[in-house]
Amino acid sequence: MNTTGPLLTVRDAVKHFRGGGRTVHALNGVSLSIAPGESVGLVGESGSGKTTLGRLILRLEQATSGSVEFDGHDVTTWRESRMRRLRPAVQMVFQSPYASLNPRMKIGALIEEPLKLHTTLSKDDRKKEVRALARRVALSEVLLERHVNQASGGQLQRASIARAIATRPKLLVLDEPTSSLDLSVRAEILSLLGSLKEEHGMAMLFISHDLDTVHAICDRVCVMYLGRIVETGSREAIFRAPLHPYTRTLLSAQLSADPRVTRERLPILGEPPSPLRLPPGCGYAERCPIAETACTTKAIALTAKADGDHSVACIKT
Amino acid sequence: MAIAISEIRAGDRLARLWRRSSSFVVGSALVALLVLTALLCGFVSPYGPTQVLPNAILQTPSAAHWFGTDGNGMDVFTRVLYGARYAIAIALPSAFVMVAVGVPLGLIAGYYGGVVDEVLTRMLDVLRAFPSIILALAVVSATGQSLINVVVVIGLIDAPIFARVVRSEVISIRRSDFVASAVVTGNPTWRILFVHLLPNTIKGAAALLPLRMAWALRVSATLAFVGVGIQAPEPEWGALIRQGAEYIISGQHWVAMFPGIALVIAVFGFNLMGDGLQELTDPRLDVKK
Amino acid sequence: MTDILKVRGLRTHFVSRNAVNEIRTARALNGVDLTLPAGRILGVVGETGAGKSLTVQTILGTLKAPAERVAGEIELMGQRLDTMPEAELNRHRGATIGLVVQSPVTSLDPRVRVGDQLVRLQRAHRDITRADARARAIDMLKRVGVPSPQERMKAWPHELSGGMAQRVVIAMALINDPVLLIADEPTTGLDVTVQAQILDLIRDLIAGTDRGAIIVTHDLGVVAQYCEHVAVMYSGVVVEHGPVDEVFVAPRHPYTTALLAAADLAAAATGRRPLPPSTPPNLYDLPAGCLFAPRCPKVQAVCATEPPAKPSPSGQAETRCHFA
Repeated sequence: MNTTGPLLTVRDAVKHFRGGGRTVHALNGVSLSIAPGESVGLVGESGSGKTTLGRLILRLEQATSGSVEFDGHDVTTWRESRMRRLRPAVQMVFQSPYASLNPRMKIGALIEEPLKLHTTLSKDDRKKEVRALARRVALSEVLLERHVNQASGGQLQRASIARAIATRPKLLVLDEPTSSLDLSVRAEILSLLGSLKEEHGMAMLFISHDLDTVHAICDRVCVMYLGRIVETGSREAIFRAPLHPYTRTLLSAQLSADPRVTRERLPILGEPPSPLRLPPGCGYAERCPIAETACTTKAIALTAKADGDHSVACIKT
Repeated sequence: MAIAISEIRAGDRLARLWRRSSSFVVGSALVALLVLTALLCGFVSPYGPTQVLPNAILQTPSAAHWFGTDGNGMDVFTRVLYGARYAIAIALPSAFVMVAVGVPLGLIAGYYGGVVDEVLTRMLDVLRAFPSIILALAVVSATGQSLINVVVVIGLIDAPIFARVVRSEVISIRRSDFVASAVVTGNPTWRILFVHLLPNTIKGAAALLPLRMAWALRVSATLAFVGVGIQAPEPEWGALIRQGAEYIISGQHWVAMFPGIALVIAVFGFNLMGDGLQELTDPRLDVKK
Repeated sequence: MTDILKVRGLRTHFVSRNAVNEIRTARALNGVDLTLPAGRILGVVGETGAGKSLTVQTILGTLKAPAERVAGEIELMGQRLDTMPEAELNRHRGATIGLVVQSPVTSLDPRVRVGDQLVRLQRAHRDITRADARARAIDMLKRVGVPSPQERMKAWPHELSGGMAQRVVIAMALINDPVLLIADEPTTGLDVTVQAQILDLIRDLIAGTDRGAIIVTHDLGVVAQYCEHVAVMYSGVVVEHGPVDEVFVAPRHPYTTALLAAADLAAAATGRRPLPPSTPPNLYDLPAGCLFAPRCPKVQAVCATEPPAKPSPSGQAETRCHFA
């Protein structure tokens, strides 16, 4: 076991979906690493490839090229039977708890399932553990006997989290876990995730289109655009001193709930690009206010900036 | 008081079920009648199923013999009642074979997709391409005429229908997040198929079941009628009809007619129940209170 | 300043029967008051089940059974909508009242080209030649920021991206010069950059005119940055109503306070719980006093028995709380 290196390393991940005579370029060379206990936010708009990257890490999608390493093992080509032994260590919470929890199972059984599969606990001990997990995520024990359609979105998302942390994973991938929830419930779930992060010291990959959410919970942020990471850095670096024009536009489009806070709004040009047709140069060039000819001709790599942990894929910064 | 309320509730529930699908209520009643007959025929029938009454050959229906007697001097009413046992003994086990073979194949084909799906689907298509009665005829006459053979052959021939229904349901949900969640949780494939997919895909197959049981009864009766299924003197309705067919020309219509009516009622009952189930499970017709 | 829309004491109930045939009433709207001055955008904000969309449907008269308006007055430019015959009301919808809903898919006819929909809608409500209607349609598409509008006139709805389809829906809502624009979650599900474009557009079309708009949303940021007035809804009542600069800066109702606290996600993630566990109110069995009392951190004895006084939705901030 590797104890000092990164927990997760994704190298040059490429994912193309082919079908109907078209190719969707969902991921176009993404590299990312997450240290043990670190929480990384993956932000981007629809079509940026952030969900595909999450599913690729979980091996729900097979990479077209590139590799995924977990704890020093290259798991890119592992068979599902071998992957299963790794599953307790890498868990996932999905966007919609209604869609991601089996509607025919009781909530208690859903939380118990990972314990059943990966531990040798007796039935009684499992039930005890399920109740402890329910308490931990502030889920009323009454709900354990109910089905998915008898609980609210917030309650179900708590159950999803309980299910995901049952095996005490080292990495939790969360794909928009709060975006289908009401504001006060969203705050409650984030508060729960925040406390779990401190308590268990597990690493998180938090996928979201909402910068406020990512700002609230992540140590480091990766900004994705058109299947590439265009900027990555510490939370402070990204939110205080964003470099990439896209990151700046994204930040300026965030709406503060305080009417006194008015961010300077950067103009937004054109339409989000289609992942069907990749431009040769920078993906953002055709919408970028400061683009020049060089931006449209050659691919632009992530380059580290002077202060170390801040990289950006833009030749103009 | 508590009893009175629960009676109201039960009556009310029945009334609502009647509003949603009267076919289901009538069909279930007929099927229940069939099951009761099979259970109670030993107690209510006046004679034994193969008991020969030498003094009563080919008698017309009367108070002593409600449905008359046949050429061997056996009571037709008794034999028709006992025929219900055969109907159940054919319908239930062949349904079991259909489901036990068809559903797993459908799950596997739908979940794996690709080559596995292609091969399975083609094989099942080939099987479906044969006229099923002729296939059943051929196989049963080759393997021997026992109840078990009839049941297994009928079940296997009909299994592809269940495979197909389940397969298309699985394809429609296999990309859903709850299946992805089952994979991420580390479920072995058999658990994904049988614990996660099966309960969510079985509705269509379950609604199909009574219809296919009706079909099984018809095929079994056909086999017996053409002489390769269950043989007289066993009181299977198809066998009874075959036995009675020779007397129709000479005017003793009751020997074939009463088992024929029994068969029609049973098939009708299963069909109605199946139609009703489809009405009840079709989301487009779902009337929420 | 004239008021475009005045809504008073709107009550909408869902009446159904249970298994033993008893009548059950879900009291979804419990006396909604709203006022929209000309040239302003009013944000109606609240969580799921607060009755935001139902308020819109009640105003438009598009409620479907078992929902039913049982009380309340609706006045559009001095005309009573609540007592208006359906045929006359229908002439207002799509003309004096424009509607933008969350999913553009449901408001565009998939079988009709974009341009034809815009032309038809004009000719249904006014006497205009086809050529003039076309010219106005192209002009309107240009105003809502659709690039190369002449070509887009020929597009089918499914060929449009989400943001583009929502622009077309806004063009449809505005094509007949409505006095009142109602946008129900107009940007939910759209990317933030697209959301900003759409909201900028709505603001530019309303500000400084004699028109007005209502934006229904669960997003406090949309209200804070784009609306002049806000109505905070909880359990079918407007608990606080007034200028955004007052309500959001110094909220007086405990629910508004809690909602704003919940929007501070950074504080939430570090463990401050903004509200007692969120149990939605049971509409079949509402509390006798203040509807928020069961969750209120400042609850007193009087809150359980006495409903707090109605806010009079003038320009000033008003709140429905005994202790505000």
